[in-house]
Amino acid sequence: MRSWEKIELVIATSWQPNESDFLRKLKIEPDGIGALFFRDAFACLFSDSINAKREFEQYYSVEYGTLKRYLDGRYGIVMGDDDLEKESIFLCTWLSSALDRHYDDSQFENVMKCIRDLESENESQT
Amino acid sequence: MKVKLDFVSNSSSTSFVYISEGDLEKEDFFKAAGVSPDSPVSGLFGQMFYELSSRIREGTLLSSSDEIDDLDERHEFTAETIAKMKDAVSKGQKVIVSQLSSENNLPEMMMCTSIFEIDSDKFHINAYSNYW
Repeated sequence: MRSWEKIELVIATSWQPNESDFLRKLKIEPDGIGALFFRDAFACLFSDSINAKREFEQYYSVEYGTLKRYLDGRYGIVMGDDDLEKESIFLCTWLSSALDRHYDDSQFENVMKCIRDLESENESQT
Repeated sequence: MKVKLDFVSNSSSTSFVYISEGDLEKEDFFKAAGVSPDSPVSGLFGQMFYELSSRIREGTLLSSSDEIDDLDERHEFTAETIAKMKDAVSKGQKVIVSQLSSENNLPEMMMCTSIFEIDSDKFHINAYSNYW
């Protein structure tokens, strides 16, 4: 992690992130300002975030031995076994305006529910 | 040398233009924004509609090309937008210039800090001046 990066949010999920599915679940058409604002949300959660599990497997598995030790040692993040077994662990270094929990109208909880629902859909299909 | 460490307030307001035959309707706004009324995030867009409607009501109605040419915020609109405003005035449509602020609430802040244009068969909103 670069020294100026702060982890704002950790998402452990077995859903394979896909912007089209994300917008569809939010019932937002791909054109228009709805998509403009929520593409930012997708970007901060997935496209721009650190894919920690992949990073560990590619570069740090020898150094740290286990994913659990890697997350704790490199990022100071302690995760339970259930989350560690998810297909991906995303470390978000910024959050878009729509997800800013300092505001009353923050859509953080709605977007997190959308991701959980997408994961459930994914699990029921496999 | 003195060094002051504090939060930096980066508040701003930006101009936008609303062009239409009539008032902004919620159903038209949602349709043009591409957001379903039963979307999990519809509350945010409902608030955006409310804020936009309020700012439009508080805005300046322009009724001639001369008024558009004399506009204080003229430099904030592109030549294409100015031409569209003049064309709309000549057709008797509403042309209203107003401001969005980054300080009031999340929906308005999001619009204030974004460059966007909403074009539908019912209305046109141009906020291209929102450069940050």
